[in-house]
Amino acid sequence: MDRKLSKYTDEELLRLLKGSRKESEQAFTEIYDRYALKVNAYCRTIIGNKDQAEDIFQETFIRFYQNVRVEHPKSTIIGYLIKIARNLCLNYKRDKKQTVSIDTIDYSIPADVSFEDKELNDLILFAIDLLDNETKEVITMRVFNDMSYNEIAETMDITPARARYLVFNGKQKIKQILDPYIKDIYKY
Amino acid sequence: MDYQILIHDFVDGTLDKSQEESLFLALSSSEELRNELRQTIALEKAFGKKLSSFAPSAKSTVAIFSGLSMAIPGSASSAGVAASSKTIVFISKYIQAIFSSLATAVILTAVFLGVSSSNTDERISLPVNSLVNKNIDLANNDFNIPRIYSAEVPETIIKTVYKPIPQDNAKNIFATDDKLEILSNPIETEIPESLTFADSKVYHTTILSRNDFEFESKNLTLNPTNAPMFSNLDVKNYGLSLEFHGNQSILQQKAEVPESSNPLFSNAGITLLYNFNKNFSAGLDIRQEFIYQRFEGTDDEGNLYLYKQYPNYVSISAAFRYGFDINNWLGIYSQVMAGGTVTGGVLRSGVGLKFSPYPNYNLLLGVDGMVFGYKHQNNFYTTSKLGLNFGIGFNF
Repeated sequence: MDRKLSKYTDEELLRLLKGSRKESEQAFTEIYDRYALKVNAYCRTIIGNKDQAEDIFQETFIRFYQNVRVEHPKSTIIGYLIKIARNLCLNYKRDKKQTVSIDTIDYSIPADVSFEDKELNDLILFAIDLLDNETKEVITMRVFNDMSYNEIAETMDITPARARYLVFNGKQKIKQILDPYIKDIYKY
Repeated sequence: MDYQILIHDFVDGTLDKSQEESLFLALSSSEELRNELRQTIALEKAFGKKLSSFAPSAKSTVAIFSGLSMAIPGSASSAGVAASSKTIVFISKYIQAIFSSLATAVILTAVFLGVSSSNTDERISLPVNSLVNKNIDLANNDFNIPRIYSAEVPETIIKTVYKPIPQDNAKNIFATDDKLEILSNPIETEIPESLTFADSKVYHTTILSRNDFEFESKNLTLNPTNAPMFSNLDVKNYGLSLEFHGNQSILQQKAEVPESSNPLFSNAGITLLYNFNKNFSAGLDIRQEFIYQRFEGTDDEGNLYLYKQYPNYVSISAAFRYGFDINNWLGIYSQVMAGGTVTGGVLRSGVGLKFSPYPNYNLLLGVDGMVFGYKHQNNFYTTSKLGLNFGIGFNF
């Protein structure tokens, strides 16, 4: 490998994943470095409970590796990862038939996040969690996973226009919810 | 036209170029719209900040890579390693180290002392450590002549005391282990003409280490030819020492990521020393240990990253030790080491106790502080730790 793996495109990484054990391992490590944060953001936002979200996050990457070794994903890597994570989240919710109340959500923040950021994190998660499930998912995919409207539409099985509308609508609702704090947020 | 949608699309990066002009015109004339733009931008920035708090835990990273039988990335970032009380961690580490040291000491002491005490005769017959008094005239078995058939001579523990005899003293002197006695009834002794009393001396020897000496008679004859009897006992071949030791961290920055690997030799090492004399030694130390690192760096796109890693390094250092004995079986030493690993330099210093249950074996227990310095992207970082050092040494 002449170039740094961080310069590889998703397509090149997917090809490497199917190579030798060493290449495959290197490619997977790069994919993990690139997308772990985003997948974890999705799981945490959709599931709420940190422990359950962690289990789904782990399962997502393990299934991703097992799947891409035998079949080439039709979407981008992040799209494919989110699809797996979404299925796992839906299964989890269906099996548990649970409704997560705000009180039970674990909003623990890493120790190296500043106090101001902790408050901001709490507010954002609080607002997102008040949205309906469909909007919550679309917002998460758009703002945390950087997915295009087409990718969101494909993952959610909706039209791109619907995805766009849900994102706009969701952000407007978040702004309303955060209205009392919006001036503080503006400072950041 | 709904300018809120246009503002959203503009910030979202999806606004059509043809609609930008009408949005900018509207913004230039409406304070309310400009306020809406500020709020939307602020919210986008808040989302960006929020994303950084979703770093997966080290536990998850380890679980994924272990589950796929892959090497765990060294720089696995982590937010929440399994929480445990600092105090409990400290105490448990400390107890583990002490327990290991004591267990080692007890087992080795039992092995060396236990075997030796049950087999004294054999030990005495060892050529290196035994001495035969060739001044004994076995044909003239006179009880006035001291008889030391043989004795184990531990290294560096012979003390010779010379005491003058008054020239006109016609009395005999009896020497016991640690004092001189003057007898009231003199014993006649044949004195060679060539000698005068002024030249005579009492050679009283105190053996400090073991009770292996067997004096057949308490009478000690004053014979100047016996004077150098023990003078050749302090001949010691200091030679080489080989030490195998373990290390246990007791104070260091709390690691926020798991150890990167599980090597065969973890926190263990070998030290080879040449003993220039009984106090000063120098040599080479090779050890393998975990060193936690936390440093910043910038990636190719200019993003600032905080790296945390807990790799296992092999370090090679030059070692210098100075020590002295408190008594026959216990000594104190201090040492400094300077060397490096593949990524940086290592400085160590420490003090410790050397327990010598047997002359050629030592048990070591000390405290060891180290500073590891390394560079990343032209910035210099250091990490330090304090540890317990325990092991066993062999002298050749």
